[in-house]
Amino acid sequence: MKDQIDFKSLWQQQEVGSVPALEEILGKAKQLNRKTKIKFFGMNFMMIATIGVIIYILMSNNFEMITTKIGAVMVIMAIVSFIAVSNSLLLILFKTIPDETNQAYLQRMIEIKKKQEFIQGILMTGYFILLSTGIALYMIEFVLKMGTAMGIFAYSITIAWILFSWFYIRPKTVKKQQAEIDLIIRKLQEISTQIEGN
Amino acid sequence: MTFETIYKTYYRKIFRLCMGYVNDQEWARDITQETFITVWEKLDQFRNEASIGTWIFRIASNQCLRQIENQKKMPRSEIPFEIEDQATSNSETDGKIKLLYQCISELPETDRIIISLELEDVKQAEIAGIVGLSETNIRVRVHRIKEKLSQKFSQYERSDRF
Repeated sequence: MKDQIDFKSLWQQQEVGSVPALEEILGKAKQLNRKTKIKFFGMNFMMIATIGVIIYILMSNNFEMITTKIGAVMVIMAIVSFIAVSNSLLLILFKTIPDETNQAYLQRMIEIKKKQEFIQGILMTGYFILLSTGIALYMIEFVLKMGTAMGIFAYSITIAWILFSWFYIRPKTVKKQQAEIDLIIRKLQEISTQIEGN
Repeated sequence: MTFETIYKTYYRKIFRLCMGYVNDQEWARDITQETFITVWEKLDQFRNEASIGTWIFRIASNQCLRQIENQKKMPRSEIPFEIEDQATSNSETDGKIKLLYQCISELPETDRIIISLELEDVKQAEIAGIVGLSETNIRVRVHRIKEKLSQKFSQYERSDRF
């Protein structure tokens, strides 16, 4: 009796609703393309503009101490590494064409996600170290010109911010990112096992 | 084959595949749309190594698998239990269609893809090329899934009757 259920016929009768106009799909595809490009170039533009401003400040002021320049360079490096890594992650995702077999696609997604997890962890740590040290070094020259009390005050606030971001913001961000990616990796592996475990 | 022809030929097939995977009309429409956007973008990269159908079904099934990333959007436990509408549905067939899609969406992910393609009349050799298994494996799997599906189907029908 069970075998007599005509699944194929039932399957084909599924209500599909009206097929959206072709123009609608093409419009959305073009819109999506545009949005991705704007996002991609916009992010890079903001980062490059920030670097430009820092370089301009460095060039237009006659800084006496080397620590100021080193500090500024470290801040720039933090920003540049952030752009480079974010772009490369974005590019990897762009290049993932989902026209491989399910098995190959799952494997590739797992690799990408693992890479993303690794890079994000290192990136966040490196970014905070470079940025914090850079700012601390950059400040030396200005603090020395202030009075002792103001100097102590300025550094206390900076160190407090650094400690807060290192011990609170950084671990929290990393943990949240890792947990999300971990869950996806686990699920992808589980599905991949469904195929392999055949 | 032009994009327009592909779109008209495959829209319904892809929608059903996505529907079998997520059992949610809105969500299935979204995945179908994502699939055709990818097809449109990558059509010039399509090499005739596989048939166009195999290529499109691969993209669609991978888009389905990718929904893990969107699972927050609708966790499985919250997927509306569409067969609850059975009593108010227009006919017995409507209820059975909903029941079938519900049963399929409860299968493991790859089984959902395999059985959807089988019911869509895709040749088993092509299913093998989409999933990445041998044809023999697919044949065995299809047989097993159908058995499982029949059991589930009858169970639901029985529980609905009493």
